[in-house]
Amino acid sequence: MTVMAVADRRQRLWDLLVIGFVVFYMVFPIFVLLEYAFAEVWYAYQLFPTKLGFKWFSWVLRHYDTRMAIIYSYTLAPLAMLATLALCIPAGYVLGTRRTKLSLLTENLVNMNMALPVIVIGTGLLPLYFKLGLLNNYWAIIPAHMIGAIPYTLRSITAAFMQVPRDLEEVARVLGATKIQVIRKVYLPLTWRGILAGGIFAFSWSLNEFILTLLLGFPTIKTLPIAIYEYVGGYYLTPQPAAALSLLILIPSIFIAIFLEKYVKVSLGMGGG
Amino acid sequence: MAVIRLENILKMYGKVVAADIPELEIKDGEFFGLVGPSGSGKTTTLRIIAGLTRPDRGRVIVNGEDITDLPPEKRDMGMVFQSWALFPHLTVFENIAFGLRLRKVPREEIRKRVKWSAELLRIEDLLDRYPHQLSGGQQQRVAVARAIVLRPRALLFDEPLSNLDAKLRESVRFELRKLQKELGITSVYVTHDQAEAFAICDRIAVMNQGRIEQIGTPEEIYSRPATAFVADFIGITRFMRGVVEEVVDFEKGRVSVITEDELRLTVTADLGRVKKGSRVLVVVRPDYISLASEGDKINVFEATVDRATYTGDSVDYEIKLGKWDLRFRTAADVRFAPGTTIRIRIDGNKAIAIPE
Repeated sequence: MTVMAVADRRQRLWDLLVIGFVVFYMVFPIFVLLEYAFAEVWYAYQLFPTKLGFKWFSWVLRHYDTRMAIIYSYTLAPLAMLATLALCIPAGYVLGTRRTKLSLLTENLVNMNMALPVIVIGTGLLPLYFKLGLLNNYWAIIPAHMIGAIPYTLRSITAAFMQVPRDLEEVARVLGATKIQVIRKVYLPLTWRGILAGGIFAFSWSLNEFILTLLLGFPTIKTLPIAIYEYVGGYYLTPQPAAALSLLILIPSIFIAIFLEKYVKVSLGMGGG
Repeated sequence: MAVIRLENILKMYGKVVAADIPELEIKDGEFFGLVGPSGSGKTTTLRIIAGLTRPDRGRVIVNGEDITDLPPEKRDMGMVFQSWALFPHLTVFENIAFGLRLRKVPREEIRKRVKWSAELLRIEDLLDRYPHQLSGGQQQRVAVARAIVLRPRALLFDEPLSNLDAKLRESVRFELRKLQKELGITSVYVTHDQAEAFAICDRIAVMNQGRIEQIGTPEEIYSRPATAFVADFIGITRFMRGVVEEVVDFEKGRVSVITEDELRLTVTADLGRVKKGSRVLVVVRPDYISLASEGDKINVFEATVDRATYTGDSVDYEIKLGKWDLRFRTAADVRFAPGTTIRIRIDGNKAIAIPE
């Protein structure tokens, strides 16, 4: 074996090790989750459950609290997504096509939101919601979810619009398209991937949102993350229903990811176009 | 059918004059060139005609109708961009049909007209392809086909050939001109390449810092440059600075000029602008200079060869005449080594004195 070949193999070994670690790091908690969710009989001294089944799923679906949590989460997520898109598509169009100083400033301000701990925003919103009488209001949760989602969605959509050359808009105008027709016939066909990616950001952000929902909606509006927290939090530790509920958040996300990867080829990165 | 008139146009970007055109008329069916270096305002002027840029003041008039406030989509013009700006998500067919679909032209009519324009540009085999599958030359043809398929009142070209390689560029020039003459659509062509403008356009406006320095046919602009800027911008140009000693011939417009280093030249001048005692620049180009023959008496000088460059079909020389560096060209079989002294004659019919 030549020196080169040895070095080659060593390199490959390192690659495997690094990638293996990342995969393990990401997958292991899900593996544990699966174990808990499907375990029907599991003695403390055993490494793996002895009997698997859907007991905990039917358990969470039978209970009023958890059923409502599923309904809340899966109605709030699409609503928050649509509202975020309704705001971010026009905003992304402006920010992406007119790179003025004002655009850059707006972008920086919105992006700063990403670095801001959500609890800070929540502390600001709590007295505001209290004064407006919006606490425990289902509809008022939607704007709260949007606050966290907008920076990601807006970035994805802005990037998509930025990638459309300015000439295309102008040539379309000269060829007879009105401003609205340019958006419909030029921008949307070229940016829908970025818009879709932005929508998915918003959807999954809303699905995952915990702190603001807890601060502003609890105890009336309990979404899945809060229901899960109730099972595992405090001293009432029941991991099984929590795991089953977690899978109810996870499974749609996995399906969406596979669907997008396979049919839409959306990279969930910041790039659009 | 379209006569395009610009009146009193002014466009400023901050404190920079982007376009300042008191008056410009482009005739019906004319291929009109806007030429100048980058930043001279030629593209701004074109965009003002297209409606993509709003002038700060002034009017754009087509066939007597004021269209200054009309948005681009209502101006009935076709445009070809430097980038060609093909829609990447549409096939060649749909790119060409874009304007027709917006106008709700019936399907059968669309098919016919797309076919017509594709045949004119010899791209009928490419109709199912997407822009990224085309070469630069093919993309350029699609962009032109998309502009002419509407049979617009005017065609606007914004440096449509500058992304093509040199050889292709030359052959496309003639095709564009031929096509425009066949269709008879009034066209405005923006380019920084004067050779391109000369080959394509009937008349040319040379622009500088937002203003038009001169309008004329290619011949007029080359042989009778109105300003030093125009003379310098067109062709290879050298200047000799001097003062008009006297008018030699009123009829032909001949003056004798004494250069700063006391050389006497007899050259052409516009006597409306140049008179005895005027400070002038004498425009001297390579083709104004020839080797002097025995009988020549006026405008004959001894010059020294500084540098000789063999280009294949000719030899280009940098020569020194008095304190002036001139350019001179001979056939490839005539060779002078650097340092050689040669006798040259400057053609007084061609060399022209313009006010400094």
